[in-house]
Amino acid sequence: MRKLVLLGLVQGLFLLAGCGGGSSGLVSAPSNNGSGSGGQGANAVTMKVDSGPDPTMGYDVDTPFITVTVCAPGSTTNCQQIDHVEVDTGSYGFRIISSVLNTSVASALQQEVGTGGNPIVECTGFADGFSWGPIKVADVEIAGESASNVPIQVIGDPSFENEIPANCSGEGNKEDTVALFGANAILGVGPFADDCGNGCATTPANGWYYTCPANGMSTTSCAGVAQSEIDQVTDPVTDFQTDNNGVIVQLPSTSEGAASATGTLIFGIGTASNNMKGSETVYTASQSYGDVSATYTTQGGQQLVLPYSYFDTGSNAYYFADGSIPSFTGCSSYPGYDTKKPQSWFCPGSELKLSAMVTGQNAAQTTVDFSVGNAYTLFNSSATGTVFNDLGASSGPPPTDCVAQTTTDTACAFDFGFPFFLGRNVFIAFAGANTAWGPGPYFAY
Amino acid sequence: MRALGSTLSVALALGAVLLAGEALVPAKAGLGDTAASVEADRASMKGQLRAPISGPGYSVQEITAANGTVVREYVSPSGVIFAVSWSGPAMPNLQQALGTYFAQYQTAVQAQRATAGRGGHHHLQIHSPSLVVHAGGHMRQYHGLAYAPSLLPQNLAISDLH
Repeated sequence: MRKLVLLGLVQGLFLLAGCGGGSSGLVSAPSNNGSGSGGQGANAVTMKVDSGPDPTMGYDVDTPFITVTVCAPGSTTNCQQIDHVEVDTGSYGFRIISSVLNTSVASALQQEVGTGGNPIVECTGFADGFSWGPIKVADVEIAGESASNVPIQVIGDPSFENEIPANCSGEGNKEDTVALFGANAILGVGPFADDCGNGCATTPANGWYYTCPANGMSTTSCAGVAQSEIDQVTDPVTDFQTDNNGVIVQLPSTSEGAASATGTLIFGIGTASNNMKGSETVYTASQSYGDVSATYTTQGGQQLVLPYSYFDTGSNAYYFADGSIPSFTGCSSYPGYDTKKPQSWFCPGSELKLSAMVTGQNAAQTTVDFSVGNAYTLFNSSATGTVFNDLGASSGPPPTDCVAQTTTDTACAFDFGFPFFLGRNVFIAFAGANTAWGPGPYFAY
Repeated sequence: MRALGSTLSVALALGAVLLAGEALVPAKAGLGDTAASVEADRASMKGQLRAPISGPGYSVQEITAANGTVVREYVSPSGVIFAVSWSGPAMPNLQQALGTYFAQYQTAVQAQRATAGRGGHHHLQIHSPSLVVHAGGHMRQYHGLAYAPSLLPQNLAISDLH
């Protein structure tokens, strides 16, 4: 078991030797792009939208998946292909559900340890719960790209299930199975390299990283620990030897309620012939949150200023606040509505043509036109559908705070979820990386 | 539900909690409890408490946890915490912040999880007669609001909470 210090050193050397921290910019790499048959270059992987790894347990809609290969560190043979890895631009880093891993690979992944040799275990917060599991080091391959010694999270590892700290379980429901997750693994390719950032590197009580008793079955408590950014769960794309400064999410236009869709996740921006920016506009994002600003006028005529807006393949609808569009109990007349668990889907009487204005930190501005239909009608009319353009859902009542031009309320957000990505090429440049079109973090479309 | 007797009783309660320290946080705190329980929440979050801010018809106790997440507890004129909001780089301990409402929160989330066409990890909406929760955001940026409709002060629009 390697010490944490050594891990950091190895990674540091790798970064220096491999890519200079993403500064390779416009260096063209034609060798990445020519494997010939199959249509995908070495820096591109097919992205499939379907009902997920286990539709009988949870039927996914508007969720994109890729296949990723995970190897024991340093090995090219002790590897496992993992399908149905969700592509999530609203998180950072790679997480696998423990039960998906075969014994050979699972036992060969290296446990990250803290001072004194105790395992590092993470509590990953989501809006609707948490995932708990150890930080392990793996080699990660996607298409023709590879990254060595990447810190990943193995969610629901039985060795640590008895040790969940109260401050972690207090975050809500545990999500540690394929059924609850709706995916075998999740690849966070949002604009940051690691999942928590500087706060976790400096504050032991960060709520994310813990050192836990090594025997794994102890009920003595885990302790919060400061975790350097390089040892935090890291987006493997940022650790690729090339094409590591961003990603492009390419999805086709589809008919409403299509059974599936096939797109491409491309690695690198301006590093190969297939990832050059064309007519897309760059919208720079905030250094603090990776967000852009949006304005949206509700159907009731109230203009909302939303400085904490983002583009998120991990949200399966446009999520925004508009009390004038029916949702929850306002949808009770439609088949599929469940009185016991009213949901936030919008259900307008007829399809709404809406728009939101997006503004980057660089003042680049554009109007995004989108449609919101009745989610219940859409689902009912397409029992096998997994791809919907017109899904919208309420993110709650619009806070009055969002009327002010200078709001600091982070609930003032427009979530451009998965439907936004259909029919678009969306570039996501990573914070700290350079591209031919400027430094990240930015989105371009 | 404890009633807020007097300023003195609040001070005594605060003192008792402070003496008890972090190891003996009362199980009962957060949403639905009295303003006196705010200190228990602060201790649990190892946070900093800001002086109460008064809004129209309510006051706000703001706790900033060590990890930077800000939890606001909204206190009605009768001294009851009727709403809780959070914002910051990590999810807060909702068991602490939601108090006795945490169990029904858990049940509601599990019910939604069992529904086909799930809502994704990045948003959660609960609308029950006794508890409403809106939560969203993305990694490194979480926000949410929970309130008990029956405890709302009269004439208060939930969207006006700051």
